[in-house]
Amino acid sequence: MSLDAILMMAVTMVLIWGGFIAALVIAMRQERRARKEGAVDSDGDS
Amino acid sequence: VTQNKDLFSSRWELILAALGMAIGTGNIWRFPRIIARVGGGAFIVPWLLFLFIWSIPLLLLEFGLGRGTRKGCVGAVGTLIGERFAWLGGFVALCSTAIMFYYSVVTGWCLKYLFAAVSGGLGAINSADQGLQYFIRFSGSWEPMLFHLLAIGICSLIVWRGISGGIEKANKIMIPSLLIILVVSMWRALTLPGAERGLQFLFTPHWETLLDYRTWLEALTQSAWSVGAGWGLLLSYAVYMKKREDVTANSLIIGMGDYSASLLAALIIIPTAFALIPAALPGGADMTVVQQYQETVKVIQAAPPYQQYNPASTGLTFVFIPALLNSIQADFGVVFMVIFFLALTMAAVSSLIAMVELATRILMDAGMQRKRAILIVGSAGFLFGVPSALNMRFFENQDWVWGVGLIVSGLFLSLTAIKYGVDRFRRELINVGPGIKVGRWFNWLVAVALPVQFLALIAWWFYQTARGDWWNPFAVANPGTCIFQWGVAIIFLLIVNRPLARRSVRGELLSPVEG
Repeated sequence: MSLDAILMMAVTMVLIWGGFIAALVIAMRQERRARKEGAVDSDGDS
Repeated sequence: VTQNKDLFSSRWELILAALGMAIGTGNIWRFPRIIARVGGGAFIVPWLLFLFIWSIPLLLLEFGLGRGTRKGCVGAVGTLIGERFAWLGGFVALCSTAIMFYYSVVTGWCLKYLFAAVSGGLGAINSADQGLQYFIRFSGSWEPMLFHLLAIGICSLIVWRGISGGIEKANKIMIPSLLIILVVSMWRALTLPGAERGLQFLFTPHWETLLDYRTWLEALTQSAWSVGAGWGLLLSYAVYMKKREDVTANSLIIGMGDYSASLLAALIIIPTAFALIPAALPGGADMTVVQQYQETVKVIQAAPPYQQYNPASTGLTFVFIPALLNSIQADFGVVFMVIFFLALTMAAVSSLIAMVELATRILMDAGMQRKRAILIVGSAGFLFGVPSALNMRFFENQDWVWGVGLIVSGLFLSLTAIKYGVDRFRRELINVGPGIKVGRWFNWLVAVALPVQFLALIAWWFYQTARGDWWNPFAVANPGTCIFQWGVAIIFLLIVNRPLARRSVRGELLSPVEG
C-alpha cells in the first residue's frame, strides 16, 4: 500500500471509530455521574 | 394526563434501537459502492462534513420534537407550531410509511437470500450473469410476496409487543450481533490474499475529486440516506426516551455509529471484491484494481436482463455477492455468504421495525390502541407493498419518489424549528437537563445550512433525471413523478389536516412534557 493510502486509512479509522468510541465514553460517564447524583428516577420525568 | 410507563428501560436501549433504525442496507451495500466510485479516501472529507451540517442537526431536531411533545410526527409538529401546520409532520410520516411499503419487500429479499444461503440454494451461482438470472427468476415468482409478508409480519409482531417488550429486546439482540458479524467479517476479508489491493483502492485519496461538485452531492446524499436523519423515525423513538438524557451525545453516538458500520462494510466488501475479482473475471489479474472494479460493475449492468429488469441499486447486492463469494474456497464461501445475508437481514429488519413503529405511533396519537394500530399498519404495509413485490419498475419508482422525498422531509422538520424559533427550540427542547449544551451554531445550521443543502440536493437529483419528458408523472424516475406523487400526498394531507391534527394534538398526552 502507498503511504498516502495508509495515512488516509489511519485518519479515517481514528476519526470515525474513535469518534464513535469517544461519544460512547461521554455517555457512559454521564450515566455514571447521574447514578451517583441520583438525578434519574425510575421514569425519568422528574 | 396519564403517565406512559412503556418508555425505553435505559438510555442504552434507546441508543441500540436508534442504531438499528440508522444502520440499514444502505450502509452495507450502498456506501462501499459510492466510496469506491467517488474519490476513494478523499470522499471521507465531505462525507464527515455532512454528518455535522446535515445529519446531526436533523437528529437533534427529531430528539427535541419527540421528547418535547411526546407525540409522533403529526402531533409533534401540530403541538409545536399549530394545528394548521400539522400536515408538514404528516408529509414526513407519509414519506417514511411509503418507504416502509417497499422496504419490507427488500427485507423479504434479504430473508429469501438468507434461507437460500443456509440451504445451499445459492451454490450454483458462479458469475454475475447467473446471479442476475437467479434474481430474475426469484423476482418473477410469487416468492417475493411471501417473503414480504414474512418481513412485515415479523416486524409487526415485534412492534405489537411494545417498546420494552418488543422493539427494545429485538434490537438488544440484533445490533450487537450485527456489529460482531461485521467486525469478524472484516477481519476475514482483510486476511484474504490480495485484500490489500482493495484497501489501496479504497483509501487512496484522489484530492482532485473534491473539486467536482458531484463528489460533495454524493457525500450529502449518502449521509442523508444512511443516517436516516429527518425521516421522523428517531422522532418516534424519542417519544419514549427519558427526559433528562443528553440528546447531543446521543446524536453523536447514532451518527458516528452509523458511519462506523458503513466503514466496516466498506472494509468487508471492497477488499473481498479485490481479492476475488481476478478469479471472477476472465483476464482480471492483468487489470489495474480500478479497471477490475469498473469492469465488474459493467459486466453486471451490461447484461441484457439487467437492462430489462434493472433491480435498482439494492438489487445489485443480490446479483453480485453470491457470485463473488462462491468464487472463494467452497465451504468458506458458503459460511461467509450466510453471515453476510444474516447481517443484511438484521440491518433491514431493525430499520423496518422503526418504520412500522412510526406509522403505529401516528395512529396511536389519533386515539387508537397499539394492538389495533399495528393490525392496520401491518395489513396496509403488506397490501401497499404487493405492487413493489411484483413489479420491479413500480419498486424503482417508489424508491425514487420517496427516497428523494426524504430530503423534503428534512426541510419540513427544519421549517418547523424555524417557525417555532430555532433559538427557542435549542434552549427549550434540546438543552434540557445536564450534558453537552448545543451552541448558537445550531441556529445557523437549521435556519440556513439545512435549507441550502435541501435546494442543492433537489436541484441536483432533478437535473440528473430531467430529460425530454421530465414532466411525465408516470415515468419511473424523473422530476414529474416526484412532483405528482408529492402533490397528491400534500393535497390529501391538507384535506385531512384539521381532523387529524385535532385528534393528534389534543389527544391524551402519553407522558407529561414537564414533570
